Amino acid sequence: MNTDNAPKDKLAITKIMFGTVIDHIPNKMSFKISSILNLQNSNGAIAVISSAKSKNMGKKDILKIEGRHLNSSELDKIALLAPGATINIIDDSKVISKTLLSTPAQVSGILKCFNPNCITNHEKTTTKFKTVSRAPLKIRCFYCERTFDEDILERMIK
Amino acid sequence: MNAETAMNFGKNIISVRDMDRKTIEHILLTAKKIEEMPQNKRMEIARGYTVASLFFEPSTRTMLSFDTAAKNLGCSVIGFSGTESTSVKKGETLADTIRMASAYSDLIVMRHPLEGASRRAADVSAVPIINAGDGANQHPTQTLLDLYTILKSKGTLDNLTIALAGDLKYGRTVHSLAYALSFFNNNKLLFVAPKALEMPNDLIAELDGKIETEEATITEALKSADILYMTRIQKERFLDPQEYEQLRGTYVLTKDMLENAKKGLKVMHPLPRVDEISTEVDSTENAIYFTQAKNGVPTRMALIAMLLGVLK
Repeated sequence: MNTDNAPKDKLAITKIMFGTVIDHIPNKMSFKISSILNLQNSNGAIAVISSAKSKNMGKKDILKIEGRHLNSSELDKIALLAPGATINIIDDSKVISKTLLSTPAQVSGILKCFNPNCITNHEKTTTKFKTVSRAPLKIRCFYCERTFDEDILERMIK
Repeated sequence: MNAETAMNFGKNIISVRDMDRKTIEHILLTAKKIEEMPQNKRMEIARGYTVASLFFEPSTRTMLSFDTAAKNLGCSVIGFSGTESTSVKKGETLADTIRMASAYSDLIVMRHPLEGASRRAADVSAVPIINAGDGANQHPTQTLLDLYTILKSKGTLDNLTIALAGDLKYGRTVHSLAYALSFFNNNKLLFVAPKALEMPNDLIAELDGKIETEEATITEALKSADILYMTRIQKERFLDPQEYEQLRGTYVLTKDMLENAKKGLKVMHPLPRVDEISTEVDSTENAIYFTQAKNGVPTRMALIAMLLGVLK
């Protein structure tokens, strides 16, 4: 890392050539997202920037992931936990696309139903959840019709 | 199934959440038509069709009602009640049992102890599914027969005050009924329940803006309600048996209490009743819970006939 020109009181993190930068993550949420994306087993460099100053958010987190782009189910998971986050796809050191995440209307196969009596926990079924409210976030299981709040959501992610 | 039927209310009856006012009115009108037909004519409606009745957990009342409904339409009925002597016991998946049954029948009626089982069955079934109860989730035909009973006794499903009393926390019957009543206009729900068994907040939030709701005591409810819908308070819901003993007396409807009730008040109950309605109420003009149970047959006949596509 070339830090020679960086001011002494600033944290310097180099640009990535190829990969993904997730910006505008709610404060401290990057650790959960890292774990969901299984970044601890990643080969490329990972930068977790937490509690960075933000004009709009007060404090925010940023995740830099070298060497990989995210698939749609990974994006759905992040969108559920951090709606409002931006996904910057980096190729050849340039941002080639920037997407603002919003809570998906429906997600398929990425969550496990938290109702032990739901059929999906007894028989192999692709789970489906529908968003019934965005703020506060509430989702409903397509099968057992149970509604779940934001606070339980992290534990439901497969 | 003809295209028009399919367009009006889909292929299956799984949940009240899939319905709307128009669908419900259409079903209830069909139930009325069937009820007014001579029996020999009803027997011709679905003659030659086979209904599979799959009760993965026993429920004598519901099973007999569906059985009667199917046979009154001229259908033959196959199936089981309880999984003791079936391949389910050998570890067969629900999906496979449904695939098998849908190969032998034109329609499946099913009850299952797990929530979402009917929705899952509908994923794999080649024939329509009627949910006869999936765990604590839904029992849509109970709701439809409740609405049919209210419609028959009050002549309308609008502008009514309906008091729901007893176990409002765990009672899926009252949840679905409250939800269904919100499709109609200008109704008011009164919730009569002990603190420990109040209507869940999620459902109240879901009803918000769709129907007026208010908490009430049984005395207040009797004065203003058109319908008093009683449910059983189950002892096993309470951690403290003493709390149950204290509460059970408060939620018993007696003949004396009905003296101050609003004129024309009708008392309903999904049955079985234990001691929440004293038997002396049975002979009053207010009691309609036995008619309510009987209304299950024409309501279920309508659903079977409509899903088979033999009645529009």
